[in-house]
Amino acid sequence: MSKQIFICGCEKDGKIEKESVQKLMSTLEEKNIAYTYIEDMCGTILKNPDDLESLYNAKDAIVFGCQARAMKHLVDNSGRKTEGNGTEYHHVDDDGQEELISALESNTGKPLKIKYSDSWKPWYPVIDYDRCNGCRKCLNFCLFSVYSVEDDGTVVVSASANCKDMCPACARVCPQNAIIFPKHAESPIDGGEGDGTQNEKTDILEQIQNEDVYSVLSARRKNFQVSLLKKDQFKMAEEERRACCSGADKKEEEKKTEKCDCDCNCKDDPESTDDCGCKDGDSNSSCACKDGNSKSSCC
Amino acid sequence: MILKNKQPNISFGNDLPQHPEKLKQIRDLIRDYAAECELIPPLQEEEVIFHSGELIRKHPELFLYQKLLAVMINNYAWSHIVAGIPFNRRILLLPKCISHSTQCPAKYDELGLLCEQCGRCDLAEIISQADELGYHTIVTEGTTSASLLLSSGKVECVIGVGCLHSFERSFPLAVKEAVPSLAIPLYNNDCKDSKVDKIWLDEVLSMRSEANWKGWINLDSIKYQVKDWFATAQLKTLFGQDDDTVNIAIRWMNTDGKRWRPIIMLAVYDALTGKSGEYDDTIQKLAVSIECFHKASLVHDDIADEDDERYGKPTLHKEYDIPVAINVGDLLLGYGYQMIAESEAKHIRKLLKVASYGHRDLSLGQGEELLWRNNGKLLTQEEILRIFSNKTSPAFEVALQFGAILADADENILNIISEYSNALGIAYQINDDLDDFRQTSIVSGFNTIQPSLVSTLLNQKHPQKMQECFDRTQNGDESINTEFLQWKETKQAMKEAEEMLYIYKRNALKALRPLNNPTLKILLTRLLNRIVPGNS
Repeated sequence: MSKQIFICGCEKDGKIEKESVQKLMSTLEEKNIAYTYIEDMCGTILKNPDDLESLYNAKDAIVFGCQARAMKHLVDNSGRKTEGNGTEYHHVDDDGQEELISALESNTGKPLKIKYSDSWKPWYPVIDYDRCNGCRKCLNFCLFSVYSVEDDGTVVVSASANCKDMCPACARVCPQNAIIFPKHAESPIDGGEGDGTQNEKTDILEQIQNEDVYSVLSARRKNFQVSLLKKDQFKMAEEERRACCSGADKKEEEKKTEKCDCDCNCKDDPESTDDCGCKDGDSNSSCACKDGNSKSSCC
Repeated sequence: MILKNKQPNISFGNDLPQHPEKLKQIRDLIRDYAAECELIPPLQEEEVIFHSGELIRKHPELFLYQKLLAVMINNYAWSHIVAGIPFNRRILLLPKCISHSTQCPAKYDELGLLCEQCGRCDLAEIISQADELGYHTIVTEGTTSASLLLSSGKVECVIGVGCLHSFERSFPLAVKEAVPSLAIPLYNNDCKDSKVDKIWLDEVLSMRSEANWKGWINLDSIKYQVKDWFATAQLKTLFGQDDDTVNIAIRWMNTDGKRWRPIIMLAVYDALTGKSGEYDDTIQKLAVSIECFHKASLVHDDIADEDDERYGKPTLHKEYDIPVAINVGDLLLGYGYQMIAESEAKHIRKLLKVASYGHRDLSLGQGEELLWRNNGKLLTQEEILRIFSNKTSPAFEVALQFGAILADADENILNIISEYSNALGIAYQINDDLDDFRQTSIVSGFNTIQPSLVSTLLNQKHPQKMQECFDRTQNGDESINTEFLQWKETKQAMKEAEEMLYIYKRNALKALRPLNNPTLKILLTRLLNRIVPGNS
């Protein structure tokens, strides 16, 4: 049985690599596998949901795009997907992609395109109902009435357009990590798996309620300063080590510590970075390689 | 359909001038206005609305800034007190949205953002300024940590930066907890790349008068102090007799309990005298006398209500028998009056009058309830509220008045306290009733639910439902105990009772309006919320 292939390009201020999407599309074309390219699924599903009829009704489909969990719940929450239809979701950068594609049968359909032409950036929360326990923290937390409760007690995203661009705050307060912002840069808010249970808890919230608030806050500040100091020391040590290395080893070291493959020169000289262009590059607006902290969001 | 696309429904009228000079101009206007009328914190919402209305009447061009005016008026009311609080007892709450929306490298913990002071946004500068002064700074995301801090009851002062939306959310909480607080609104409401007027912030952060404000009553430390007075050895010395009955009484006094009444008495005394932690034998004896009256009423109450347990242990008449329990209660009443008589307080006659009137009213309230039980007729709303007012209010009133009398308070304050205690007592009793209905099943049957506001309200609207409950209880049908609480009529009656609870809490606060002693006003506002918690 042939599977229907969908690819979301996350084009509206998105965060997935254009290159990866392009590569995937050419691979499919080479193999004569038809696919549907969705410019921006978050946008279309909210603004022109009818355009995705083929996805809702597909008997057996594979969707490539951002985090699998994000896409799955985005589509499920539309309430339009035909029940019982199997749809697999994969990140465009998933390791098992080749295997997946080689198992597909070729067919001769032409690639289709679903456009998203609205100027609004589709930034809004998606609830993972496998995790949500209906505690309503998000409802009380959001200042803009994005959430509401249905008669049966289900918390729903009822006013997506009220959501403030780039604000993922409700996702951070969710004790179940059940709120996804597909276009966010960090896991698990972007739909990454996280540990699937609870937000990591220190007992600071309990402490401020039961102990002397002022000493708790002072201790928090102190701990944080110590951790910053440690980080600085670590950074310094890395730089020193790099300075000691010979040319050949140097490149090796860089790869290990930075995991950054942009071709700007900021890595070599983290101090003078004003002219570094990697931030403005079209591939990723949140490159943090300047800090040299090997961030998860580093390009 | 779970994804819906509604238009934003945020109300307007919350403009903010975008220039520091204009903001300063409005602040000056408010300072001049406040010089004419006395603003004693904490201001209730209606008071703030009233004053902003007055301002707009005088300066119609300000109508655009209604919410800003409210914030500034409230700030002004608190400013003198805040200035008297040392920097290291203040908490600065900054909103996360000031941080750079895309390049902020900071991580988070449950309280908020851990700023690395990288300099990409204004936070670094603000935080280092606050650090230098000695503030505790938290960069919060949304209002969760603000709410937690405000409701912890342990924070002495909060300076909050945020959008006008978020202040609307946290204002009621700040009022409830009467935390000295100042708010500085952000220029924008977009939740990202926000800016704050640094001149204004600077003005507020560095505000400090020479003298310290001594009005923060630390209820926890009072509680700690009071605990000692009820240790067995202490009570033995006070009661001065070694006797089996006395020992039962001492053990009963010593058994758990929140000691609300002695705490209230000391807190009021501290608030009015400005001293704290300085308690002589007189104060100690009076605090114990109040607890004697309270514990005596509990012994007798448990007998009347046929309750088997209190504090998770057998009640006194279960552990011994009813005659022994009645007698121990009487003994405690005797000790209560003895402690007052031997307290060597300045106003013994006044104290005796307050105590005996409280004792009398309590018995009258209790009496009305007991006689009602005999004739089985359902009470009206007026009757039940009168019972509450008699039965519960005196206990609080005696404690509050004792504290005030000891501190030589004038008639004016005693009258305000009287009005406040009456509303507080009724609110407390309504809440206590509601607690019985918030369970999944009625604990000790029909007697628990009958003399209560909820059942009275239910009976007024749906007498047939109340009759059904009565009949099924008579027939020994136990399923009614759970079913009763699930009826939609019962839930409706609970809702009405909650509304009345809210009204009485408001009445208690209204009674405080004429108080011109901010320390006492703040304390009584906080106490209301501690004694009758809840979101209303």
